[in-house]
Formats: sequence, C-alpha cells, structure tokens
Amino acid sequence: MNSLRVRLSASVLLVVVAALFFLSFQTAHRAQSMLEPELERKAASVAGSVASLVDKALGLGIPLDRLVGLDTHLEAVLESNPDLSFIALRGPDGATTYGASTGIDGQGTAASGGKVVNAPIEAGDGTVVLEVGLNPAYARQVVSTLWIDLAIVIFVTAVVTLELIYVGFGVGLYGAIEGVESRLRTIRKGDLRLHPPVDAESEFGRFARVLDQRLDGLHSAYAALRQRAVDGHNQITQQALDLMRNRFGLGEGMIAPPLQALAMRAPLFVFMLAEELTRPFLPVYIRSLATPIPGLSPEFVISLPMITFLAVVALSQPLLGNATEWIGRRRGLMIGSALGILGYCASALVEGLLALSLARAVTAVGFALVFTSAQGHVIDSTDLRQRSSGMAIFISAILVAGLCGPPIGGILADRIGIPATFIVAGLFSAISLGLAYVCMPASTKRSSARGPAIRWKDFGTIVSSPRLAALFFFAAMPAKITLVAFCFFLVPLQMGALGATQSMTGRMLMIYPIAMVLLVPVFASIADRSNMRVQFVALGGIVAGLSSFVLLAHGDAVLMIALMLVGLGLGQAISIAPLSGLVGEVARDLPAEIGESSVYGIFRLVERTGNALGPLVSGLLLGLYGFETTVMIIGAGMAVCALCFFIIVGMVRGTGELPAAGS
Amino acid sequence: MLRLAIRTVPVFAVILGFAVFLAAYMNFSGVRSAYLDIIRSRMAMTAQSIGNDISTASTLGIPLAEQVTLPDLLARQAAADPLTLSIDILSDGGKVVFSSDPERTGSQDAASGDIGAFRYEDHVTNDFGASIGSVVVRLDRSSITSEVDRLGFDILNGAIPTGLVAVVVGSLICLLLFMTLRRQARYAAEGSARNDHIGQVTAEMERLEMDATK
Repeated sequence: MNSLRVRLSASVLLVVVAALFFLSFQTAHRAQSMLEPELERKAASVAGSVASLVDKALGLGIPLDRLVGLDTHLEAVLESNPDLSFIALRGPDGATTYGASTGIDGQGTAASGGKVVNAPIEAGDGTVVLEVGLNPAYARQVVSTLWIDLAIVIFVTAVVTLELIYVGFGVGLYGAIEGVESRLRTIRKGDLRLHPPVDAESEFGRFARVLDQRLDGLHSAYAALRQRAVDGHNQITQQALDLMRNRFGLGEGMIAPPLQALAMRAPLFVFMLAEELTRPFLPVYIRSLATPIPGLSPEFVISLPMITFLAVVALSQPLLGNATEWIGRRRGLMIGSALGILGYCASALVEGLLALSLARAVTAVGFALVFTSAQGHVIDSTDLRQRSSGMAIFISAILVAGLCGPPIGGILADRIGIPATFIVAGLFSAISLGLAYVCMPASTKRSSARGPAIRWKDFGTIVSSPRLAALFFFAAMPAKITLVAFCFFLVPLQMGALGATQSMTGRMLMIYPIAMVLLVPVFASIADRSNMRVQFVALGGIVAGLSSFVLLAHGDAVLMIALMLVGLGLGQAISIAPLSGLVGEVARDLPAEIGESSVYGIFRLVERTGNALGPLVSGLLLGLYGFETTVMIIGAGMAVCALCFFIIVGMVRGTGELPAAGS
Repeated sequence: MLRLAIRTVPVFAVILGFAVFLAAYMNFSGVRSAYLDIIRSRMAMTAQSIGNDISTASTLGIPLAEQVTLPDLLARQAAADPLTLSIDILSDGGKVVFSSDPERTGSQDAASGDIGAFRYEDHVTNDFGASIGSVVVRLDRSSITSEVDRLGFDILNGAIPTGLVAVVVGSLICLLLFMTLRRQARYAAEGSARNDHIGQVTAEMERLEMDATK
C-alpha cells in the first residue's frame, strides 16, 4: 500500500495545488477591486494630514525651502504605510522639493501605473502640491503573503491524506490492497516467497487469493520435486533447486505486516495533532493570563502550567500502562480523548493561571491515557517479529503530528484567536474519540509481551551502574530538558517578544521535527553499522548544546533562532536512536534478574522527568538572565553533560560491549 | 470496482473539499484583515491629525472645552469620508465635548453599546504626557460588514466550482490509480504479465522435473 498511498497523496497534492492556484488568482483579482478604493481614501487622509502640517508651517512664515525634517517625516509616514509608494511635495514649478519613495516608483511619479492623490497647499508665491502615490502591487502582495500559509496547508493536506487513507478504507480493504501491492512488488522483483493470507472478501482480496494460489502451486511443486530429488539422491537437481530457493525464496514465507496495530494510528495522530496545535502560542497565552506571584519572576510563573502538564504526564504514564490494559485499550484511548476535550475547552475559557494549570493537568492525564493506550494496543496486536514495525507506526504518527501541528496551530491562532484554537484542539480530541470508537477493536487479544514496565526495586541497582547512570542523567535527561526548554518554552516566548506572528512561530517550530524525520534514520543506520553508539550520543549532545552559541553571532535574531533549532535538530537526530539502543546494550552489565523492560521503563521515566524539568529550568533562568544567556547556559550544560557521559562511559568498560562491525 | 469506488471516492472527496474550503477561508480571512487594517490606519491617520491640533492648542494654553474651532474641523473631516458616522472629541470622563454629529455633543460615550459603529479611539496627551481627552472616529459598521460579506460571497462563489472540479478530478485520478493496480493484479493473477516470474519459475521447475525423470 505504501507506493499506492504515496501516489494517492501525490495526486491529491497536485489537484489541491492547482485548485489553490486558481482560487488565489481569483482572490487577488477580487482583493484589488476591494482594496483599491479604500487605499485611495487612505491616501487622501495621508495627503490631507501631511498637507495640513505643511500648511501650518507655511502659515507660521517658514519658507518652503526651510522645512527642516520634512523629508524624515515623510519617510516615517511611508514606512508605516506599506500600501503607499511615494509622497512628494512639489513646488509651484512642479519640481520635487521634499519627498520619500519606497523604490517601487523611484521617481516619485505615477509612471508605474499606481494611482496618485493630490492635496494642493496655498503658499505665498503660488500653489504647492502634495502627491501621494499608491503602491500598485499592494493587493497582490496581500494575497501572496498568504502563500506561505497555503503551502503549509497543502503540505498538511498531503500528510493528513496519507494518515486518513487507512481510516477511509477500513482494515479489510486496506489489508487487501496492501496485500495485492506487496505481492505485485515482490513478484516483480523475483521474490516468490509466500505471503500471509489477507481478507478475501473484496475484489483486491480475491486477486490476492489467486496470486497466493499460484505461489502455493509453485511452492508445492518445488517441495515435491525437492523430495523426489532427495529420495533419488539426485545431486544436480538438488543443487539447481538450492539455486532457485536462494534466488526466488522458494519454501520460505514472509512476516505479516502489523495491520491490526494500524487501528490506533488515526486516533493517536489526531489527538497528538490537537496537543501540537498549542505549541506556538501556549507560553504567550499563559503570559496573558498570568498575574504576579510575590517572590517568583514572571518568566517562572509562565512555566508553571507547562511544568504541571509535563509532570502529570511523567508521573501518570507508568501507572496508566497497566490501567489501560485493565479497562481496554480502546476505552482507555476514548477516555483520554474525552479528558482532552474537557481540558482544551477549559483552557479556552479559563481566566487565571491556576484554572489554566488545572485544565492543563486534565489534558495531561488525557494525553498520558491516549499515549499508553495506543502504545499498549501496538504491543497487544503484534508479536515479537512485528513489534519494531508496529512501534514505527506509533512513533511516526507522533512525529507527523509534531510536524503538522505547530504551523497549523500558529495559523489558526493568528486568524481565529488563541481561545478558539483551543476549542479546535478540543474538536480534534472529539474526532480522536470518534476514530478510536470506529477504528479500534473493542477488545484486543492480550499479548504475553508487556510494554516497558517499571519494577521500583530495580531502580537502585540500575542507577548505581555508572554507565547507565551516565547514560540516563548526562545524556537522556539533558537532551529532553534542552528540547522542551528550547522548542516548547523559550523559542515561542522569544518569537513573541520579537513581534513575530503565531504563524511564524509555528513555522519556526517545524524545523526540529523536520530535522528529526529526515536525519534520524540516516544517523541511526550509520551508528548501527559503525557500532559507535557512545560516540554518536556524545557528539549529538555536544552539537545540540553548542548550537545555542549561534546566538552570539550578530545578525537577524529570527534567523539565528532558526539556525539554533537546526543545530538542535541535527544534534538530537545524531544521538536519539543510538541513545535508545545503548540502553539495552549497557543493561547487559546488570544482574540477570533485572529485565530489559524494567531498564527501559526507568529510562522513559527519566526522559519524562527531563521533559518536566525543561520549563522549570528555563523559567528560572529566563527570569534571571534573559533569553540569549538562558539558551547558552542550557546549551553549555547539555554539551558539558555529553562530554561527561563520554568520559564516564569510556572509563568504565562494560561487559556487554558489542564488537565493532566486521571485527 | 463499483464497490471500491463507492468506498474510496468519498474519502478523497472529503479530503479535497476540506483543503479547498480551508484555502478559501484563508484567502477570505487574509483579504478581510488587509481591508480592515487599511480602514483602521485611515481612521488612525484622521484621529492623530485632529489629536495633534488639540495637543498644539493645549500647549498654547487653550483648554479642550474652549477649542471652539474644533466642530468645523470635525465636520470637514467627517464630510470627506462617506462612511463616517461621527468624529467625537471626548473628555477624560468619556463625555462627548465636540462632535461632527451635533446630536452627540454633550452625551456620554459608551463604546460597549455602540454596536452600529466601527470605532477607533486615540488618546490625546499634552507635552507633559497628561491626558487631555480622546478622539473617536466612528464609521458605519454595516457598510463595512456588507463589503466583507460581499467578499465572502464572491470567494465562496469561486471556491464552490473550484472545489467541485477538484473533487471530481481528484477522485477520477484516484480511481485511475486503483484501476491501474487492479489491471496489474489481474495480469499477475492470470499469468499474463510481461515479466511473469511465477510462470517462468514454474516452467523452469517443469524442465528440471523432466531432466530428473530422464
């Protein structure tokens, strides 16, 4: 289904692009006819206002050629009115005495086709004229500025199409189409292994069954011939059959794709999208509701609802894993979505910091429930061989939501306001609830395997291992603190302080997930091949940390923040996959009774604690030192921790170290 | 194929329809914001110009209530713009001291109840930063709203056929993709595909079997 899904998405993208081009062209035309009369009226107001000023000066007896500062005043007027192209004061002889121009019409005339509004002023020796020129491209500019937002809408539409294809088709048809596609793909490549059966009710299901019958016939013939060759001691035929088996995969079968695990993807994606919508404006919104608390800096006060959310998620996730197993994954996800509806709608309506913190706490419980239910569903519906691809479906839904949510949230907040965007997030939670009801099975066969479960008695043993402690507290935790501090807290606040719109902030927050989506698979594969996980974790931490020092460069502040986020994304992309892999590798040093799942459970808890500490640390530092210093302190801390991790893990050699590839 | 079309086409129709609707809304919202911004900046320009005159007169020692040339100025400014309901000068207490609309002079201004007006208020201060009063420019909200409504109607008029064409074309392309996959599947199932590996390996196996039985 992958290639068909991509082709379907590309087709939808193509049609949407064409439609949007046409629509925007029409809108530009309409905007021109609507804005032009208003622009003329406004130009007349500007002309009247400046003319009255000049008239006053001339009335006080100041000669026309001694109006000191008029050029500067005209430049200021022009700068604050992007719809104007020039303002010129022409003497009785028609020569320009004073003027300012945007360069659109460099001569300060109507030669470019823009309309001109005149205001005559009586001077002692004749009439001077103030001319105000309209920017002829302004209406087009208004529409063209929408293009960045439209490009994001197009991109998100394509991604959402990819996500919704499964929902639209349902598991049976989706499985059948996927089954036919995978059979055609493998057969075309000469891979004739047997495929797992698919639902044969639909037309595609019947095609899959016929193809399976042909493959079955071939495999049966192969098995019979091999048996005869073995019985007849026919070495030549056996060798020929071996060659065929190696080349075509005869006598072998394929692992079934984790189709049942897909059921959680749509509700998870939509719920995560709801939360990601709030990223660009949450700190700004909290600041608008915050009232001073004696003894606490305003910046720290702003961080409190964010700390509440992340702390509730961190504390409740380990507990809710078992709870969702008990109440059922679908019900767990639905309850989580319902809490999401409540939390987001309450966030839109609250009027104070405490109420917002409570609303965010409710949302956090919902978030944790949705997360653990979806993760639990993957575990329930996959066997060990399918687990990795099942978890990939789970992770990619979260990543894609992280990519689409902030820019859309920013656009919505700019256009309909922050409270209304919270309501939209609540609406998304409601859709997630509906999707969970429609897509997920009422009860899933429980797998014997469990997700990362924490055995508290193992905690002491695990953290007393120097290598694991270094991995947890010098690599994993600082990485999460830095991520949350930069992306969720500091950057949205600083962008707001720089006067950026929520849309711009949302676009800025896309940088990190884009880097992750593109670079994580690349670095994960290099790290695995070269068996240099420790080096990759340390290098990633140092790159991510040092990226904060780009703020020292003198340049456009927004560009520097973008470069910092690129560095953060690059660094974390280098380290994130090797970091997860190292946990299992280093855990081999531990006594045999401590299970890997317990180690991973504590690893996730440490990461989530890092998440909760992110706003706390950044809020405290921001109140004391301001944005740039705070970012550099956190970045330097991250880099130093990565270096400490490298030294400690390098000094303490483990027993579970893997030999280098090829050695 | 009909069943497949019935199940799949609505999915793509909804996705495409939603995308075009969203784009139409964003186009509308962008032009509406630009339109209202231009009106606001025009109102600001008028208010600031009047405010400067009041401030200059105050600097010369003339209290607001005694700036008797203001009504003529306000009337001239209001007459220049057909959308203007009134231009008012308010005292610090919110009382209308002068207005281009004589009926409003002396009344108490109430911004919250003034739903028929699109308002812009500019505070006037003297050289020491002390408040003198404020200038309120009031435009006819219904004219502005009807212009915005016309814009929405025009964009919707363009978006509906565009959306319908997009839905039809998109659904047809999607159906075409399914039909291509279906044709490939049929050829593979019948063994009539151009490079039928199953057929080739079956033939190879039959040849091996014949060799083995010789």
